[in-house]
Amino acid sequence: MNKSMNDQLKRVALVGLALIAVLMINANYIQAFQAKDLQTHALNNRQHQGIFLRNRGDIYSADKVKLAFSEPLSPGNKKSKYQRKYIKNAEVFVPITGYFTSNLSKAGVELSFDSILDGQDERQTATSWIKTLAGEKPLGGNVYTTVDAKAQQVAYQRLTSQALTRGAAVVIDAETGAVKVAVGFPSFDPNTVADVQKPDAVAAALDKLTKDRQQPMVNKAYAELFPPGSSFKTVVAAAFLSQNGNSMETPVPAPISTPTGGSKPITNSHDDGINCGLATAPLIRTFAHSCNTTYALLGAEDQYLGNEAVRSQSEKFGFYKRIPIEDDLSAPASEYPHNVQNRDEILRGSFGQGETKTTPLQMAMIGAAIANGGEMMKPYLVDKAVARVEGDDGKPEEAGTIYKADPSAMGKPISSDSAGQLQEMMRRVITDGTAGVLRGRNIAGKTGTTELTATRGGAWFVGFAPADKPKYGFAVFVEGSTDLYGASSAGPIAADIINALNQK
Amino acid sequence: MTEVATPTAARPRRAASLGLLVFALVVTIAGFAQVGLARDGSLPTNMFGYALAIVALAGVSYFVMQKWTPYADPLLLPLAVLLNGLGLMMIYRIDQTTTTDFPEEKARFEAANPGQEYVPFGVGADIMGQLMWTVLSIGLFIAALILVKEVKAFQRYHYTLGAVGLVLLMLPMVPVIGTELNGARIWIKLGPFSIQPAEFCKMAFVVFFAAYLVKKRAALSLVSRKIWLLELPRSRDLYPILGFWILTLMVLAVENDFGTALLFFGLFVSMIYIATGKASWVFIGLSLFIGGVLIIYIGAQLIGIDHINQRVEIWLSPENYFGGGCKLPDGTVDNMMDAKPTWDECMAAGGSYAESDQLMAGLYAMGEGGVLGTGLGQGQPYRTPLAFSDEIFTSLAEELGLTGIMALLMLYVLLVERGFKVAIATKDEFAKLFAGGVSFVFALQIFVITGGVTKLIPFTGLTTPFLSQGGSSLLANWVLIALLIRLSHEARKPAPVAIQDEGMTQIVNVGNLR
Repeated sequence: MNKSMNDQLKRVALVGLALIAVLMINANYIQAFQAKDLQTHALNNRQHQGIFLRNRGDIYSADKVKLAFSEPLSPGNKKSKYQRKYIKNAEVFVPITGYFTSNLSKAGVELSFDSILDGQDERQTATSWIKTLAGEKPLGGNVYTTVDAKAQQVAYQRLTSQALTRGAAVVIDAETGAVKVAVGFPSFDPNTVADVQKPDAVAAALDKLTKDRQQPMVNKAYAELFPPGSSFKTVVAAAFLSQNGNSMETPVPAPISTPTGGSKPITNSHDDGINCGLATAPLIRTFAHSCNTTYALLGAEDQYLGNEAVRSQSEKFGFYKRIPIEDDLSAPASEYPHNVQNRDEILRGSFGQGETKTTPLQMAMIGAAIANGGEMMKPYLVDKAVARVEGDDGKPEEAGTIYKADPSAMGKPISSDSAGQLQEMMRRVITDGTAGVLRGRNIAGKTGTTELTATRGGAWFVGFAPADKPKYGFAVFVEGSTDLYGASSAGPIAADIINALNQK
Repeated sequence: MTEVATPTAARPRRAASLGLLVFALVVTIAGFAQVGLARDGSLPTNMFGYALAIVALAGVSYFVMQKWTPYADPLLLPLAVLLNGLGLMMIYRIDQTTTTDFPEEKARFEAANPGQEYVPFGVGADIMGQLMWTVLSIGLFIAALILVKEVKAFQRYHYTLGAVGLVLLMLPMVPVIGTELNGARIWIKLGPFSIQPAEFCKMAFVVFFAAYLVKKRAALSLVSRKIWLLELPRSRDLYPILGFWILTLMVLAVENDFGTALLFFGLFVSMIYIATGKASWVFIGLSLFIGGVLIIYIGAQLIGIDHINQRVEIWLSPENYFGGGCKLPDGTVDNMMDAKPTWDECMAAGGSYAESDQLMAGLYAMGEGGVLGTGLGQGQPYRTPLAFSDEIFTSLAEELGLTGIMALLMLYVLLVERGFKVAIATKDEFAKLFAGGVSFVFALQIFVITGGVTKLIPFTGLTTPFLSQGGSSLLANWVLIALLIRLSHEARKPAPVAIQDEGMTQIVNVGNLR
């Protein structure tokens, strides 16, 4: 037995101090490393506190049009609340800006760049850390999107003038993936759900919008799936070209009718006996004249191409998984039927009907990949974000750039050779095919028409422009138009948008 | 043992103590001032009253200490004053918010919960009450300093104190007076007062164990068998630890408080170790505790007493219980955040209901504070339920940041270190065990409560020494400080003059010559 107990006391003292040391380590872990996660934790409603007391940053278009901004309710008062405001006719820009409702639901850039706009982002704090140390809270940063405001306006105006039920247009810079145009119809004015002084009115407006069967709050440009119709033939043709020994001149079957297991055989919209409606025709002619039977057979029969080859090509273009756009912002996964026993579903799916579903963004990406020599760029909406600090006169001033887009490829779904042949095929659609109406507009693409019923049907035009020197990939979709053919309804809209983009 | 623990510089450290005390007061009063400046842009009007009260209390304590225990450790009083002052400052800060309205919060709450009364933030924080308890506690501290000449005097009453401790520990289990707060029964309610008996119980047990171990340390040190490195005690010497083990497990099972169980069992084991120096006791103690906890939790699982495991589940995955979670008979947890009224629905479904809001809100407060903190008066610590008592650590963490609470934990480190220093410097066996036990239980209590609010261990309802709002904790801890001061004075004071007169050669300090 140790007489004095001092050795034991020292050891127990060390244990006691070690317990406090563990607390210190844990506190460091929580407050230095976990702090950000805790602040933005889903259940933490502190992050919403005082959000309206902060000057939320602006959202701009690429041509410097202010799309969203915040205004103090009582200017001059330091403790004034801020009202989020959107540009007049903001419904045009909702797929870009998204919305920021007064009950704090967010979408689009408002959601994915929330921490920068709100001024709570670490990157922002880092650029103005001296001010932070001095106790000043950084202001919300500005976000510059890639969208072209002028072309966007033209796109929306032309879509709505078609008296349609739903529609969308997306234009992508083929080389970078920057989204230049993204409009959807029906849309809504985010100002109607942003009023911080009238929570009841906002709640009522939101309730009405969410109950609307057309779902105006779900943007049609990249958040909703539609059957792509014949524009999907581009994917089947790409799969065909990727097979050894195939070219756009390779003969493919183009019968008048293809029997199905169901009641109605598959037919073509017109059979002239030169392009469609004969035993075989070169691929390019069946593409230009959009022979349904050709693509149904290509997708269903392994002797020509087969379901697996089309599925694999679709996957390379980005089908079956969500397409990332920005943080917390992605497009739903497109589908092409596979692993199904039902041959009819594959037959119809292979020319874009039935179970094949996609977003206008996905189709525009396919057009852009063809325009870009086969390489597909990841789409993005935001070019850069700039921190703001309070200037000497108390007005916000822009400080350093805290975010810059870094264009990246999503892969190379088709070879450059295939891309060249598909370009040629899309040009043929205009010069000698279903879109003759677009001759002289320096644009190329594939038309598409979805299931024609008495009241509803959709028209697509997917391609690239300018036809001679591809720069943009696009997809235009209109539904419920009186004119249900892709060439005459969607095509001219695409041509007008590209025209607006090129007018600088 | 070659070094001698008796301090050689046996002289009063008046200036050091006074300087540190002034520092503690400046920090506290500056804290009050900053709360006012940050919140309202002006010094709080009632600040001078508070400041005067605190300065007067500290001044009187200092005077009494210098008069009755001049050789005492100079750090103990300033540390206690600073901790108590920081607690008052934070309680004041949260109390202030009660008077401010949150019209929007109120409107939102009333819209979402029609018919229910809105409870504003920070309700329950009571600076006046806490000031009153501080006055009483420091009064008791002064009385103890003057009246308790010999800590050893308690040794005589150790059976009485042990019995009192036992009763206090069991009281919360008694149906009518024991009250449940946050799922744990560690409070008793007597009329308008709620008392946490664990606070006084802890003192009583330290005295009892110390006296008991002085008598038994020889027997407990005996080795009956040696298995590898483990020197096992005689089996009959195991009975006391087994008895206390069963008591602790009852605390865990009935009061459902892991922290309290850990506190008392840890105290017992550490004191046996101090007395005997046998590592086998630590091994036996830890095995018993871990085994016992597993038996309780697995047993509860098998029998189907859900609320015991629920506390562990809340600790492991608090998200499921945020806003109220209902553990259904089939073992799944249904989050009831949107169901109203949650409790009734859960009971109707035969489930067991619990909430993790306090734990989560405390962690969010810490996250908000980050490294530098929001600044005193500029955060929103009042959003956490019981921000002024159970969660006062996270409230300080929010407004003072990691920087602030590291300093705060350092204060505790110093206090614990000084306590052990007293234990080492003291000659008397009982006093050594007493001071060592008190110091360790202090460290353990900080670990248990702070570890609970920082999600290191399951949440417990114990108080944060000197900081939490509440009288029992403050009274008990100030008395402990008085006893430590008395012990350190006794240990450090020079030997009686008569011996010194015989000449310097008589008081050769053997240790120093070696």
